[in-house]
Amino acid sequence: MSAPALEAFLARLYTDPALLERFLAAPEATASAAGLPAETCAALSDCDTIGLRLAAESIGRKRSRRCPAAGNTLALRFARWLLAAIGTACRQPGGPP
Amino acid sequence: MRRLNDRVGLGWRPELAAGILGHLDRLDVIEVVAENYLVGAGRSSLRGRSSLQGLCDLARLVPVLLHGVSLGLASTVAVEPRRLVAIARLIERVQPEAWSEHLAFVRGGGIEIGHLAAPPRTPQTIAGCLANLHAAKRVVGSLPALENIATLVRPPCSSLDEAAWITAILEGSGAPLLLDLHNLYANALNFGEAPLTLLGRFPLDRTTMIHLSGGRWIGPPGDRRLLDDHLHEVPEPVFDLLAEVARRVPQPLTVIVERDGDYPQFGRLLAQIEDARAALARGRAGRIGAAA
Repeated sequence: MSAPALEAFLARLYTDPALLERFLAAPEATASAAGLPAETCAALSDCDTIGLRLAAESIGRKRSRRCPAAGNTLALRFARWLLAAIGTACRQPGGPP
Repeated sequence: MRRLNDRVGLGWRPELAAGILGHLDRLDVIEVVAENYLVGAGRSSLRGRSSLQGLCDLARLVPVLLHGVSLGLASTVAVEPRRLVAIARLIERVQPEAWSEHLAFVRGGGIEIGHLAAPPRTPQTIAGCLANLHAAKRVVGSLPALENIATLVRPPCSSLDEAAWITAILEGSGAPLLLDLHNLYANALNFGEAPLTLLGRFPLDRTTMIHLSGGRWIGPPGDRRLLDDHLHEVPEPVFDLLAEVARRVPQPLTVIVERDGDYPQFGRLLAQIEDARAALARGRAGRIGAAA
């Protein structure tokens, strides 16, 4: 079994909804078409399809949120400002350790 | 009686900055996501001087732990050296107490998954992970604590169960365990095992750090799964697992409560931290009682 090739195929399944649907409809054939060896294709045909779909959907939601929202950017700026202010206080004589 | 230095803290998030900095007297330790201070292709460069200075100042006020999310150590593919070098430079600059990473793969075939994924649990991924940990120790100078991850899917093509796979990696590398108790709880429930039974099969003697978080149930009726989304409070059974770990192991534990969104009033997070302290005390009391 080529482990890097299997990891690459799993990465595609988690991130490519069209490939996931093809795989769920015909696991062994789809894995074989991706160039995976017969032993791996047979093992994949017996995989946890409900979990696979849920995992892919969860990852899809995460990926769609990767661009930070405006609120998050503001929070980031505020956090940096707070830390900078505390750092300035720390470096003043008699400030916190 | 030996005094145990258990500690409880919170994961640093920008949205929680004011609450954290206003309540440092209630927090023993802060965990910071390393990648928030790394930029560029492959997260291979450090952020600007002012951002890093803020983190260094925080580390002067309270013990800081660095938590990595993107190395992808649990893979048969070697971690790019530039990623390890960046982590090494960040650690050198910030001087955290310790650092940690996940037992996950996060990319494959040039595709970034964008999330932590459970690799096939096989001898091959154990060997790949050990090689990556060897490289990490060589470049960074220390091993990360390794975190068990939550998974909604039984990792395809696996030949080992989770506990055996993790134990082999920890024993082979000598790395400590960052035990995420909600991840363990979710995996146990999702795949039909009692959480306490799964806990008993984990290498608890290697646990130095613990994560606590919450999640929600998703999926079709009859086959629902618990998603570890870090958007909900730590459920009571997870505090019970924390008490059980404290009862079973002698070493000091550093516990981090994680929250990544849907933030409640900061007082609710402080209450969860106190709940963690109470669970630790409960477990330690049971340990002393058992030994008497």
